[in-house]
Amino acid sequence: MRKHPDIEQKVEDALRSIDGLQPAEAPPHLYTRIRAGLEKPVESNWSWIASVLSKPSVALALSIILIAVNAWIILGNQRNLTDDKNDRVAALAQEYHFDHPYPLEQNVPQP
Amino acid sequence: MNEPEFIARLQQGDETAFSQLVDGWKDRVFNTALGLIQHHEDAEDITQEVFISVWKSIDEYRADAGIGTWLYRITVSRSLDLMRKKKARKRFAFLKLIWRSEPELEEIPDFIHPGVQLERKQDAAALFAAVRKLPDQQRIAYSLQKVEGLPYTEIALILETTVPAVESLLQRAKQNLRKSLATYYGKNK
Repeated sequence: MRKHPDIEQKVEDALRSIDGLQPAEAPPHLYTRIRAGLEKPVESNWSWIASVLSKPSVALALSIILIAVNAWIILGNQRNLTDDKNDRVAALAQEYHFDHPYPLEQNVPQP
Repeated sequence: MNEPEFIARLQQGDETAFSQLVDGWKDRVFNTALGLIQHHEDAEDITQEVFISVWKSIDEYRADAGIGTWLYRITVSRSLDLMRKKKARKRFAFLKLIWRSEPELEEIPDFIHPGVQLERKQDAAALFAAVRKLPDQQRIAYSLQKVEGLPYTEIALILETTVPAVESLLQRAKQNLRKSLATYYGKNK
């Protein structure tokens, strides 16, 4: 497909627009900034960890994980507690023969 | 003073030599970073980082390339790192929107290099926007040639490749730029 001559001209103009470009100059006082950067104390691993943990997104994600783990532990314990309770009730019923009710209790008509 | 002597002074921690190095190279480092990053403040930060890195790692300097080539390599490498970080940040920008009510203004507005002539500013803005879309190696080669005005041999040394490879990179860069600009002007007649 043939391009529009106007567009071709614009493309050529754009490509030539930085011919003979004057180089940009660095800002003044750069050396002072570099010296200040060199004198800055090196950040320790602990401060890096602290800065990561203090980010709102990281803190929120960690809180969600903590809540999820807690919920999982609590729900797991509750299930164990219910099973344990059922076992104790069954043992008690067996001990007192609650599993074989008296005929009177069953409303069976007596002769 | 010849280069080995100058390097030796830097390696001995001579601050006068370091100041001379900064004075002699700051504009070229800044201009290279600005051409690649297309952001004034980021280019300033990179220039600062390059010289700090040179001061700290001067003992690792290998004499296989001139100090200029070494400085250009560090500038290119730092600029690439920042470009990649910005791309990654842009990719995950939607996640940030969950925590923030307003989107961060990461997108670079129309960049105009301070050295562009007034009457060519509009065309140059379109060209720089198209350069941003080039693959990394093509972007570096094109920027080093057009913004910094380096010859093919120097670009080949900086990219640690051959002159024909640089020629090929530049040819592909120009083809891609033509396509990109034609699409842009087609949409904005």
